[in-house]
Amino acid sequence: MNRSTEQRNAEVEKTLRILDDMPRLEVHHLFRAHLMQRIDSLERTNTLAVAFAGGFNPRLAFMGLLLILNIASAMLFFLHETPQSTVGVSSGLAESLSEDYGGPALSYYDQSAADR
Amino acid sequence: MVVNTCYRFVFNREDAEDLAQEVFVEVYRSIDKFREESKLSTWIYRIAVSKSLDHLRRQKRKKRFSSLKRIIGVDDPADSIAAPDHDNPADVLADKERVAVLQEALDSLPDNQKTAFLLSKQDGYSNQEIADILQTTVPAVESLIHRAKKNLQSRLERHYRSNN
Repeated sequence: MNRSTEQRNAEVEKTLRILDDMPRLEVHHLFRAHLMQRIDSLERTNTLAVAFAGGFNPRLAFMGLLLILNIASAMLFFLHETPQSTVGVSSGLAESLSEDYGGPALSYYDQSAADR
Repeated sequence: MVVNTCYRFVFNREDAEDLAQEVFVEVYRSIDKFREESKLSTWIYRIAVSKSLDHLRRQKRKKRFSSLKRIIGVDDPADSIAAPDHDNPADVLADKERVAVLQEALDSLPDNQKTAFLLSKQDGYSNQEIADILQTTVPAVESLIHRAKKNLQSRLERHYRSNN
């Protein structure tokens, strides 16, 4: 019984001594190089993020939106207005032409004679 | 010192180096958040401790799936624990087993007891420095170390009693 207790205590002691006997680590010779590489890549990612996040200017974006809306509404206006105005202009032109040149004095033949 | 601090927690050289890298990256990333309320070294060791504890938590979660891992043939993380150098394979095996037993006993301790105890075992940490890292007082650290030793002793005794 005593022997087993002694054995157990010895095992406990040996197990706990592992922490005292742990060797002091010397870092891998590439540790610093790997670290610098990680920091470099982190910096590059940060620069990209800043370029995206820092480049975003709400005022500029709003102005852009307004410009797009302006252009879109102008285009809509002209697309709807242009055919009507063309028709209006052309009909006005036809009317004035018929008035100017439709008089009996300028006709090549006498309509009443033709009717006969 | 940072690598050795992490090594005390994770018992594995590669993991300790990876953690130390993470610590320095974190230091680089958040150096502007350092408020100079403590020494820079204390702040860095605090990050090292928290990263190491996070790693142990992740490892604990992984261990829950160890049976599944064994089925699909992936190595158990416990296999990567470095055992002290011996020529005799029986000694190597015994040491490996002891390391695993010790790690299990340490895992069962609360984080603050584990941290205080492991830092006290490392050269270069005074109780005052441990208190600064844990943001507590020296008597509290002494009490944590004492309780950790007591808990470890009883857990290890229980383990070897059940295995006899």
